[in-house]
Formats: sequence, C-alpha cells, structure tokens
Amino acid sequence: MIDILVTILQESGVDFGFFRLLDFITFRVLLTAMTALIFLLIFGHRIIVELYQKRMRDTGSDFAALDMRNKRGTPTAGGIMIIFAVFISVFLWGKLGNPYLQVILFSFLYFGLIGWFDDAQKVRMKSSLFGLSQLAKTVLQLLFIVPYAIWFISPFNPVPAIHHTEVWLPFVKHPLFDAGPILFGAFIIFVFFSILNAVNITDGLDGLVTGPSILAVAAYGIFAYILGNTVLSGYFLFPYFAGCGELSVFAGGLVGALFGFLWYNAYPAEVFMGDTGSLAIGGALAVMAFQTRQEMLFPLAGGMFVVMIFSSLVQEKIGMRLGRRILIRAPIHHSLRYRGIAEPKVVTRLWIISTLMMLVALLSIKLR
Amino acid sequence: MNARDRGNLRILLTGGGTGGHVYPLLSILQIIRRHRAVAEVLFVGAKGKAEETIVPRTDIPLRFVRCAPLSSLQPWRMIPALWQIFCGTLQAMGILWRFRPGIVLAAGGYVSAPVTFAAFLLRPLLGCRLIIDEQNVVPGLMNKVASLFAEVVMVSFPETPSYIWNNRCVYTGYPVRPEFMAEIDQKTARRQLGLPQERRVVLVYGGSMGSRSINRLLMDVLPQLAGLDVPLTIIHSCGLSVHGYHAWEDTTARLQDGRLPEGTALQKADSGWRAVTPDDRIHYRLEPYLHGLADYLRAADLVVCRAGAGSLAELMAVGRAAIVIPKRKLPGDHQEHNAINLAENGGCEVVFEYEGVDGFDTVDVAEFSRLFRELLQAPERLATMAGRAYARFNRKFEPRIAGVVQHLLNGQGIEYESSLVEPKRLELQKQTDQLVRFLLGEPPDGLYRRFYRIKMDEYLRAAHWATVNKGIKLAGALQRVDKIKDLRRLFQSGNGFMRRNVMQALVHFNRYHPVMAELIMAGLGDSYFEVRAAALQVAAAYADSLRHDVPVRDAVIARCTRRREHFDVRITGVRTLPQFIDLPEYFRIVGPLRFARNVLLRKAVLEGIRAALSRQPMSDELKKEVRRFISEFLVTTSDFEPSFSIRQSYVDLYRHLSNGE
Repeated sequence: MIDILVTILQESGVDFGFFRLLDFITFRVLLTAMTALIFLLIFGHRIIVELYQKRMRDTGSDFAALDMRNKRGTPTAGGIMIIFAVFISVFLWGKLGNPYLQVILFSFLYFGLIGWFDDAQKVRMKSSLFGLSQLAKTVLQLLFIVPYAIWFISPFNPVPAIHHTEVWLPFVKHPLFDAGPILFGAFIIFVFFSILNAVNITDGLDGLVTGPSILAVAAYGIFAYILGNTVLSGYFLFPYFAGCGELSVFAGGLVGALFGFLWYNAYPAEVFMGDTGSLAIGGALAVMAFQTRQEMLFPLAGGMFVVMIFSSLVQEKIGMRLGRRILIRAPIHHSLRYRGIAEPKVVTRLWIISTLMMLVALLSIKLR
Repeated sequence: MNARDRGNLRILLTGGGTGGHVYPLLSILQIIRRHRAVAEVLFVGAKGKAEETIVPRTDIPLRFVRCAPLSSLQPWRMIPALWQIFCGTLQAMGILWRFRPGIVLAAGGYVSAPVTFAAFLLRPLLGCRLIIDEQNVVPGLMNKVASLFAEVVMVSFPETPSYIWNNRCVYTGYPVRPEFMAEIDQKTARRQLGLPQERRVVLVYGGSMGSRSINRLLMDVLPQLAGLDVPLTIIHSCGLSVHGYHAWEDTTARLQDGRLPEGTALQKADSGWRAVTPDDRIHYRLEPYLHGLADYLRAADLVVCRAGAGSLAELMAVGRAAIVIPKRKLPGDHQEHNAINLAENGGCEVVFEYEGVDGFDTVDVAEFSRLFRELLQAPERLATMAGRAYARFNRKFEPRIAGVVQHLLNGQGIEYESSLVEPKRLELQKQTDQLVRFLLGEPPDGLYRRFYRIKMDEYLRAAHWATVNKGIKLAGALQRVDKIKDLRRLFQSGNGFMRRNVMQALVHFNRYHPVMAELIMAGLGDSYFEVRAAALQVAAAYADSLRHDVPVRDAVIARCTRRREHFDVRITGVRTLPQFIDLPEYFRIVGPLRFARNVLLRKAVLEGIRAALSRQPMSDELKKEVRRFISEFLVTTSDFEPSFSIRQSYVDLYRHLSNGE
C-alpha cells in the first residue's frame, strides 16, 4: 500500500530521499515485522477479550467445572490475531501486485478460514472430538492444494519455468532430476498436505507451534531473500527468482505476528491459536517452501513438525496394525509430558532442538 | 412466482425406511393441514421400504430416489454409497425443481439425505425451507448431518438438542395421533371396551408387525403367573404375519402347546383366542391386531411394549406404567436410548434383550417375570410411574409445530431452544474409559449396568479386535469374575492392547481368583511394556492374596531391577514392591533410584515407602532407617502442578454463590 502511495506522490512531483529506503527489501521486512508485533502488543488483549465474549473458548465453558489447575475455557482460535496482524502489516509494506505475495496471502487466509470453521464447530459441540470431520477437513484442504499444484506446474507460476518440476535436495548444488509435471504434481499434493497437517498436529502445548514456526518462517524468509536478490543468489550459486524477495516481507510479517502472539500464548497461555492459527501457518509455510523450491529442506527447517507428524503416524498406523503402543504417548510432546516434564520445560526443550535443526538448515545455504 | 404464497403451500415430505419415520411425517402434515391450506403434497421415499406400503394408503403421491446407508466407516465401502447418494441428489433436485415446494419436511432415515442435500443446493433458487423432525432421543447420523442445512430441527425429547449439530432446535414433542390426546379416563375406556373394572389389565403389544421376543416372552411367562394373587386380564396383540416371522401362527402354536396353567379353557373368539384359568385369576386374550390402541392403552394398568419413539410417545401421551423392551441392534441403539431416557425419569421399567442361543433376540424370563409380579402387586408404584410418564410428554406439540411452520413461512424469527438439557450421560458412548469409570460407580442392578452387560457379550463375540477390546474393558467395569476364563483366552490370543486391557479389567474385579496368579505371571513376562505395567497393578491390587506367592514376588522384583526396563513399568513396580518385601530389602533394591533422572520414578519410591509405613507399626529403628535412606534423595524436579490463582478466586466466589441456593 505504502509503495503505491509513494509512487503516486513521486508522480505528482513530491519526492523525499528516504522514499528510496522502500526499495530495500530488508528495510521493509524489518518494518513489516515491527508493525505486526506492535499491532498485536497494542490490540492483542482486545482481540482475546473479543474471542472470549464470542464464546470462542476451549472446551468446557461451564464455570462450575472451572479448575484452577487446568486451562480449560481459555479463548481459542487466536490464530485470527496472527492473521489480522500479518494482513495489516503486509498490506502496508508489501508490493501487493507481486504474484508470490498474492499466492501466499491467499493460502494463509484460506487455511485460516478452514481452521476457523473447525474451531467454531468444536466450540459449538463443546468437545474437541467434534470438529469438522477428518474427511471434510481433507476435502477442504485439497480444494486448495490440488489447484495450487496445477498452478505450480503451469506457466502462470512466477518461478522460472525450467525450475518448475526439478527435484532439489538440500546440500546438493544442482537439481537431481526433472520429475515431469504429473509425478511432481502428485509430489506437491502429498508434501503440501503433510506440511499442513504436521503443523496442525504439533499444536498441543502453550507456545509449541509458535516457537518452531518462527524459526521455520525465518529460515524460509532468508532463502526467499537470497533467491530474490541477483547478487546474493549468484554468490551462493542459487537460481535467481525475480520478485521472490516479497516472500521475505511476508515472512517478516509472520515472524513479527508470531512473536506478538507468543506474548500472550507463552505458558500459561491466555489464548490458544486453535486450528485457525496452525492451519494458516502450515499453509503459509508450505507455499513458502515450494515457491523457494526448498521443500526438501522442510525436514530440517521445520524439523519439529516433521518429528511430530511422524511420531503420530507411527503410533497410529503401525501401532494400530500391531495392536500396541509404540511410543508411550504421541505426538512426542505428550510423551515428554507423560514422563513428568512440565509443560514450559517441554516447550523450551523442543524450541532448543528446533533451533538446532534450523541452524543446520541454514548451513545448507553455504554448504552445497 | 413465490412458492410460499399464502394458500398455495406445497409440502414435500421425505424420510422412511421404517414406519417410525413415516407416521410422524403424516401426523405433522395433518397438523399443518388443520392450521392452513395446503395446495399439494409429495412424498419422496426409497423403493422397497415401509413408505412403499404406508404412503399409497393415503392420498399422497409417492416418488422414489436412489439412496444408500452410510453405515460403514471404511472409505472404500463408502464410495458406492456416496455414488448412490450423489445420483439420488440429482434425482431429488429434478423432483424439487418441478415440484417447487415451500417446505421440505424430512424425518431422517437415509432416504432423506439426498433430498435434504438437494433442498440445500436449490434453496437459493427455490426459496424452500427445510424442517427436520427427529423423534428419537439420540438422533441418527443422517439427521445430524442434515441439521447443518436445516432451518429448524423439531425434536421430541428435551435432551435431543445436545446431540444435534446446530443450535436451531425446537422442542415440539412427538406428534401423536389425536385419539391418543383425548382425555378419557380408565373407567370409561374399560366400559367402552367391555373390560372388567376391578381386574388389573395388562396390555402387551410389539407393534403392528409383532415382536418375536415379546410374544415368546409372554408365552414363557404365562405358566409362571399361576400363584399371583391379583386378578389379571392380559390383552396380547401379537402382530400380523410378515415375511421372516409369522407372529400369529408362531404365537398360537405356542399357546396351544400347553403354556397355560392346568385346566385352562382355551377357545377361539372373534378374531383371536381367549383363555380363562380355572381359578378365574387370569383372563388371557390374544389378538393379531388391536383396532383403537389408544383405548386399550387407557384401559391398561401396565403396558409391555417396544421402545420406538412412536410407541413411547403414545404411552406417555396416555400416561401408563410400562415395562419397555427395546429392540436390539438398531442403528445407534436408539430404542435402548429412548427407553433409558424414560426410565431415568421414572416413567417406565426397562428389560433389555440379548441374543439367545437360537440366534433370535430373547429376554431373560426370570428377570422379566420378577419385575412383572412386583409391579402388578404394587399399584402405587404403577400410579407414580404412570404419572411420571404422563408429565414427561409435551402435550402442546400441535400449536408448537403449527407455530414453527407459520413463523418459517412468514419469515418471522423462531424461538430456538436456548438452554440445553444435558442428557445424563452424553459422553458415555464416545469413550470407553469414561464409561468404565461411570459403570464402576453405578449400583449393581442399575439400568446402565444391565444394558452394558448385554453389550459386553455382544462385543466379546465381535470379529474386530477393537470391539472385543471394548468388551474386555466392560467386563472389568461390570466386575464379571465369571468371565475370567474368556479373558484368559483373549489374553493368550490377543494383541497388545487386548492383553493390557485384560490386565486392567482384572484390577477392577476386587475379588481374587486363582487364575489371576497365572495371568499376572504371564503379564509380567510380556513383551509389551503396558501389559507389564498393568500386570504390576494387578499384583498390587491383590497383594494380600499373592504376598506369599514366591514366583510372583520374584517377578515383581525383577521388573524393578532390570536395566533398560520401560520407565512406566518401573514406576508401577517401585510402587508395588513394598507390598511384597520388607522395607530394608526394598531400600537395597531401589537405592540407586534416589538419583534417577526421571522425577516420577523418584516420586514412586517415596510413595512406596509412605504406603508401606502406613500399613505397619513404626518402630524407632525403622524410622531411623527410613530417615537415613531419604537423607540422600534428589528432590529437584522437572514437573510441577500449576495452580492458577485467579481461577481459584473465581471458583471460590462461584461456589459461595451456589451455596446460598
């Protein structure tokens, strides 16, 4: 928005030197992050109160059953805060004509909406067992993912056409091979779906999604910045994706919003992000991973999410087949809670591990 | 053209499968017709179901659409059904487009799925209103889904809205036929029917098609009634013959087979049979079908019937005491739930069916006959029961239904039920563990225990292990020590979950059985950690009987000392061990655990010592030894119990307010 304003001003002859700052992506990234963060610090509490009054409460809003030891009745669907903050800051500082930015904003909003419906349903049914059914959720998710996969291999994708269907691995300098549109389309659907649900499943303890999300989004923001910069992409021997830098503006906004959310979500949480937040973040992360062609880096950049979904899959699919538990509880964070590690401690430890994995992911910029 | 123009109302009815879905629709239609002009009506049903025979008897045209039940949850089996529903939806859209109804009235049953969905899709174009009528306490899946599209869900029980997936419910009550609403007292009814005033009248009926288990039950109970000291008239409507079960032939054959007390005169009269015992105590009358059921209900003191929503509503409308025998194995066990709901409110007694040895559903004759005699000899109990059933019925269903339709058509707001009446056990069905906890707190002969006793047998015989698992858990909850041989068989053949649940079931038994020692030994050596942990729990629960069993004691010790044992097993073991050995020996074994990394393990050591000390007198020497042991103890922690102080204050205030009431 601001860049349109500045263009209009410049065309009508008004120009200041500091307008040129807007050409620097780094400057806009930082300002987007700050806008989102400050927005939430100021308005966060009001949104929480609003959610609470709208009965968007975690299961069990019966006050007679209120327990001083648990957090039932905490406002949920706080992801809406993140969505607001990101949209406001990106609208201010982003170049809205940029196709990278458009697709990620759309994905972010669409999955946020699915999550909102799911949360609303859970609240209405007074039970977390009664959200949208797994089938309905899958169908709604595929309604975005399949068209996205088709768009991705079509000429409308802003990523240069030769890179559309190449398979890249982290720590390998050149693409391994070209998978062809059909195989790669299927691959996109599978990976997108997995990333989305991995983030969703991780949401279980206060701040557990927020921390690893900040790290993963930041890592992809850095990649987007490098890929969208002629000099840096040449220096690090990456292909150059013109306009990809706008993704890092979005990443900045999301990181800022997540920090703002963590302000309230840190243990003991005043608000949960609910599926609204986790699906929106998942959608944004998946689009970022694909648009920067670093989807294979996700097991490192978003390592925590991958561990969570794998532990859950192993427990459910293999465990049910064998007829026994493999892990004592799944996903892993419940396992750790069960072992007698307190919630904030589990979250901090998992943050530390995600940081480690994110650092390894960043290593792949230089080490190829 | 506005389809909702005054005097030009077109109504499309849908629903069916059984008469239970069709009759209320026709009743509602009658009510609407009494309150406003209806131009045209159309019934959309499924081929080969009850509606095919019932609807042509009225003047309503009938159309068919394709549909299929979505009973199986496995996706590959759902695909053909979904295809059928998809085709049905297209057909229904065609019908709706040409018929242009103002109101679509759906009563559940899977045929309503395509029609409600089509109505939802065409609503922007046709402007039709969708009303759903749910007669049962626990709604079927189809109605829950369809409720998402509906403007109004009319329910017959105040508890139903908690199960419906929207909050647009109106408690209208069940639309019984007008003859059930007439205020005629028992005396008048008996006079009209020519029944004696001073005798106790029992009405037994199983619906127009008859019910095998009720008919056979009565045939079995009749010979046992000889000693009863109240004069009794039994009117038995056994039902017409349908394919599969020839109610009339079967019952008469059994009747003539010497079921009646010695010397009873059995004679054919009008359409049925009559019998009078020699001492004139029991008058028995068998009819294939009773015309004017309402009058017979009024004349009766006690009714034996099914628990379909319709039967129960008629029973409550007239207000009579009843022994209800819900039909087994219907979708969602809805008859059982209807019956339990009424029985919880004191409106009836329930006797559950189970699968007999011959494969037919049967009722426990002894249980029924005991209850039957008890009730007949306690007129005041019959009266309170009748009063409660009567009070439970919503008699204002007609103005309510008419009001809902009127408001919908005029575009006025409808007063939806705002406060939910929580059914007593909403959560029970969902999680077996919760159910187990609930059942353990129930009285031994409670309604739920009797219901789940039958369910348990059904589950234990099931093919899929997950269902058998439920059965195992229920066996524990119901403390069925007599099932221990079955449990041992399941333990030997089952997977990890089943073995674990067998162990956990043993804990609930509260009574030691010699087979347990064998099972505990097997459990302690199991390859799955949860089984080992559960086996230790069993050992702890029956420690008094097992203390001198050396192999068990050694196995428990081995669980605690083995390196690389799962922490969960060790924790349970450390807690259990002091029940088997003396404290000094215990200290020697668990000494290193004082510095264990896992805080729960350290905690278990302390708990074990504490429990042991409370079991025995403390000598000074023992105290000293314990002090020495715990003087070196790592008490740093990675876990804590949060206490959110604002919630504490809130709860204090809230409780204080509640105390005043």
